[in-house]
Amino acid sequence: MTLSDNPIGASYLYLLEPEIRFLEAAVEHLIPTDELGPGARDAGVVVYIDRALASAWGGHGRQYRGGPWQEGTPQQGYQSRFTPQEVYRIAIREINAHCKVEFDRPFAQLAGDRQLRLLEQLEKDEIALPSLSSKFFFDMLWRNTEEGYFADPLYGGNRDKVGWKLLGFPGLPSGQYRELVTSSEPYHAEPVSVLDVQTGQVPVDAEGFPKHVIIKRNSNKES
Amino acid sequence: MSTTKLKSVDVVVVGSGVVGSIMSMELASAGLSVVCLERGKQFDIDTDFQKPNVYDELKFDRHSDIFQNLARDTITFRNNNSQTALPMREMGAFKPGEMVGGTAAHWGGNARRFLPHDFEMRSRIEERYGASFIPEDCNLQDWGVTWDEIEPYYDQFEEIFGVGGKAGNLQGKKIDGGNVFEGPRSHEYPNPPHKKTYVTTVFEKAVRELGYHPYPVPTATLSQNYTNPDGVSRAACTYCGYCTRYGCMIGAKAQPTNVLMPVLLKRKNFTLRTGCSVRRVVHRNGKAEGLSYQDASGAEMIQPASIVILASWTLNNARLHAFVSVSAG
Repeated sequence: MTLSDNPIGASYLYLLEPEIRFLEAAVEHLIPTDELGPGARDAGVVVYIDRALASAWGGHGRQYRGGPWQEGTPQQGYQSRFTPQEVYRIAIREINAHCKVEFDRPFAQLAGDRQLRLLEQLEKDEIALPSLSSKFFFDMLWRNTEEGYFADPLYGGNRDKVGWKLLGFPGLPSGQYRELVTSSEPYHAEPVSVLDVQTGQVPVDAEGFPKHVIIKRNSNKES
Repeated sequence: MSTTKLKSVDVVVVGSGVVGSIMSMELASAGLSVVCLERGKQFDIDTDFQKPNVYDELKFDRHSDIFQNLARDTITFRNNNSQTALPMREMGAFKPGEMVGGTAAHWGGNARRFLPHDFEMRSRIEERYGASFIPEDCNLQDWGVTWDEIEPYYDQFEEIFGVGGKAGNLQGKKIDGGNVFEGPRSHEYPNPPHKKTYVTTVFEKAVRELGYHPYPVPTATLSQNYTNPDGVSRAACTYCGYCTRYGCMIGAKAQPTNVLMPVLLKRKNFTLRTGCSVRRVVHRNGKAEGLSYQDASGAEMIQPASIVILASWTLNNARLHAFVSVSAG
């Protein structure tokens, strides 16, 4: 048996091998690699999810965990008794069990179009899982995928700042903003992350602001 | 469990946010002995809000320890009477603070005044639409203070916090470019407005052409280096864009920890106790006599005082009031 490709050579603190395989397949459908750049899998989103689950958030370290327990309205937010750690462990096991009954193999080994159809069913709450709502799991997976793709690379996702490059987000602010704030010129800079500054990849000025490298864009308007 | 009764002081204040800090400052300056009880921790710019980690959006938008730790205490809520109130388990858009400085540590610095009629909402509505306009079961009230009474204090607040803006009504004289609908101000803002972004100038021009009166939002984030009347100096904003939900990394954004606390903490008649959760107002014969609280180590304490001030924001204040009503039978 071979381990998952582990494209970024990361260590995993909470997720187990079948879960890593499941998530690598699933997040690649949510944000696929395409002509715009790397998708969620190559951006390290599964590593992000692993770190999130191993963090205080994953065990609901700062969330209220007492009763009363009751299904709330959407406005009342998270009301499940399960922590995110439990949600991922239970939901992936039960989705894989569903796949084995229906298609004789776990989610990660199914054809791509079959996986996509299953994710759509989870999103619409069309698959009845024994322990929790499939939409509840899908919503958490989608939220964490977005976080992993766009949060600071500090957390293991957004590798090479692919999410920020896609958006044109410059990341940490420059000390030049004071002068540039009134400018009508669009601002294009190589994004700078907390991780870049922590690891010395990007130098900072005397005030601690990173130096932005401006991206020169050729305008075709005149030609 | 045994309860320790402390030596009585003149004033005990619940909460060290904007209101608690201002009350502590005024009463300590008048010579009274003041104890302020804060459930959160002490934070400081040089560690907690240091670059580069202060720009961590995941932390400060979602998980930050400058917000209330819901594992210890939370609220329940519902949107109408037909629903069941349930606990707020996870922090959403509503982010109560839990640190010295309270929610004003992560506010946006938006420092508007009420309009004169906001203080007399019931009277003004009755005056305009008749007394029968307001339904009998509507609890709308006037505040009990008027614009003219409070205006000097708005002025004082703006001086202390270093608010920047442009007056639109200076002693009754309307000034184009400011908010011409505001109540008459005794003074111009202590600081000028912030620089306008390009988007702001486009929007301003468009709405002005439509006949509106755009004006710069007054903000307690400094538009220039400033020293307030208490001698507290702060640096001008760097336009980094991380205000609401963040602690200001250079202290340009005014908050109790960088305008009031530096002065208060030097006063011998002021004591700040952190990690203290107030449980009850201690009272006898309808008169508050102090506060009972659990200190940072979990010990039960009673702080007797001649004056008790609830400054822990609307929901907590209402809860402490409700406990008084319940225990008074």
